[in-house]
Amino acid sequence: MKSLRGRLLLLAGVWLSAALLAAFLLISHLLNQFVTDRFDAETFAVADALVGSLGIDSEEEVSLSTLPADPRFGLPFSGWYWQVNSGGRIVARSASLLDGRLTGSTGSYVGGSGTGADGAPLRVLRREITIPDAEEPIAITVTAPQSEIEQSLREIRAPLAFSLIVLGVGLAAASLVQVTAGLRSLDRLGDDLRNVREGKEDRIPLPDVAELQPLTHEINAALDQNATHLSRSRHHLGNLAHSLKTPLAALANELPSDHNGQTLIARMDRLIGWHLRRARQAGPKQMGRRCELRPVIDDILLVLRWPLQDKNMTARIVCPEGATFSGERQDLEEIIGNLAENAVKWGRRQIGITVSFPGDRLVLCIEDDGPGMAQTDVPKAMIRGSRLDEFGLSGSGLGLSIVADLAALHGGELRLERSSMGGLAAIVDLPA
Amino acid sequence: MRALIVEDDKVLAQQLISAFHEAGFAIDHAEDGTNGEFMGATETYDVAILDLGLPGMSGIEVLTRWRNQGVTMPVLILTARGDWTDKVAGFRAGADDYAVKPFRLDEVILRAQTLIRRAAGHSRSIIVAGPLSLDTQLGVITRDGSPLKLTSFETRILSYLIHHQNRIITRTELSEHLYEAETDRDFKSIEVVIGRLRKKIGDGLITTRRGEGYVLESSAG
Repeated sequence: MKSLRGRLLLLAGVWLSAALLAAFLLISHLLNQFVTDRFDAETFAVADALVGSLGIDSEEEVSLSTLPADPRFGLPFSGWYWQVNSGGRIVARSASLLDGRLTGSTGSYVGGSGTGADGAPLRVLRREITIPDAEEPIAITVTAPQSEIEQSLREIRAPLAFSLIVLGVGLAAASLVQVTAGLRSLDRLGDDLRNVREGKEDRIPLPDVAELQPLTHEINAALDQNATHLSRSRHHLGNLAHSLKTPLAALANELPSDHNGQTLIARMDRLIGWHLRRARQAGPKQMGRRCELRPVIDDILLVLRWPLQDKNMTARIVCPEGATFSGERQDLEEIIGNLAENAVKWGRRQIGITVSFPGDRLVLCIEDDGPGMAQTDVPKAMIRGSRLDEFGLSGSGLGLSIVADLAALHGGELRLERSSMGGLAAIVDLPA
Repeated sequence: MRALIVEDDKVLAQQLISAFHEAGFAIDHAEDGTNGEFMGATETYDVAILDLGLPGMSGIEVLTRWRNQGVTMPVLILTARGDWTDKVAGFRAGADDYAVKPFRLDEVILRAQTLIRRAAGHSRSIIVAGPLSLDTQLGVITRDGSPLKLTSFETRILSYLIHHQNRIITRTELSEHLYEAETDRDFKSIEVVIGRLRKKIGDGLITTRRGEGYVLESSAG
């Protein structure tokens, strides 16, 4: 069975049934004992009375002075019988026997079995005694009807079974509630984990349930380890970039600017940059990160401070208080940085950075009042390394394709449209 | 003008040094972060070229320490990764501009000159002082539109005076921006060069304040 709840409930059901069945059998056995003891006590009392009234009459014959008064011994075939024998001869018998006689094994015993004249099963008490002056030992046999014993037991067993069933149903309901409540903590843990995946939380809060705390610690440790590995590989990637690009820079400066090698160097540089970025983006999307937008926008404008000032441009920022991006700061820096740099490069008087949350989306619009881009140029602009600004302006040409890749990585897209400012509007549409 | 270059790659450092020398700069070079941090904090520079990927102390750490100690010189960072995280980290630590490897040497020099000009409070790339004008992008000084023929040392002195025109520049201050750390500082030769400059650019532009220093007055001439 796959379901944990199913397994727990099945287990609880099996144990409960076994325990209830055992309880039923044990209690039945005790009741059986109790009921037969009661019947035995009755036959015992009759036997005692018969012994007490035994005597030897004037003809030296065994006789009974009084007979048991219980009316049940008077009803024919009632199953309640008594009989006094001396040797093989019947001295006296109950009226209920009519002409019949009780036969059976000899000796003294309680709880023996026998049958009446009508074939009905009987519970038999037999006692052998000797009395002074009697020639032979005297046997007293008293019986009770087995059917009456069975009847009594049936009358008790039915309510017992009913009570145990009620108890069983109650316990089953209790374990259902217990299993559900217990598993709810697991559901909550699942919700917490989803929050981490969606970037709403960094780590899983410690649950109240002590049994789930070690698991939570392990998951948090795994999250931390993931973050450490990621930052370590990024560090290595940075080192790799540095160790490749520094000699490349030296080589580029060593060669004359019109040397054929310069084209190769430029291509190598682009390839290194491209693959480093791809490697970074292809790595696991770091879970549980969420970063505020405004500080990142401010940081990017800090980097672009001089280019803005040199062109005497203004930046118009619209960003709701406390707006956040579900992902890493590095990715957001790359998105805003590349788009804002383009806007500053192409804009004339101003650029605009607008953050909005229509529905459950996060829409970042970065626009300028520059010449804009013809719709036919849009697909070309997205291609890796393609530059529309082949007039000597600086820029690797990778900017837009990096942003498009990052937007896709975060489940969104980059669109290039015409801005109301007149230039290009780069719109990054992401899940909020 | 005097610049500090902190770059661990020998070939690239040598290229930067040569190119800056050629552009008329006095250059000090540090091969690692620790030395670079010490030099930047103890000597006077007009600009620092700081590689971020340094052995020992990282470029960001060097820059942070400089800024914490109140070192205000403009700093141009050299980054290999070229991603925005690097740039943002550099600017937050106090960088003024960046160049992404592999860069062109003339671009780095141009950016360094722009930083020096801005730090001196000039927003245009051509700084005018009376009849003199300095094109900070080309590194050319003209008088009434015709280029002056100056030696590298003369250019260094005159461009410093043009950047800081109408302000008394003491000989000590001037020497700090002219000489490399290993060079003996010699006030006599400054006086000789100032004399030669006066002949080349015309009398009355550079005045000597006895006991104080020199002033290049933009209203003179």
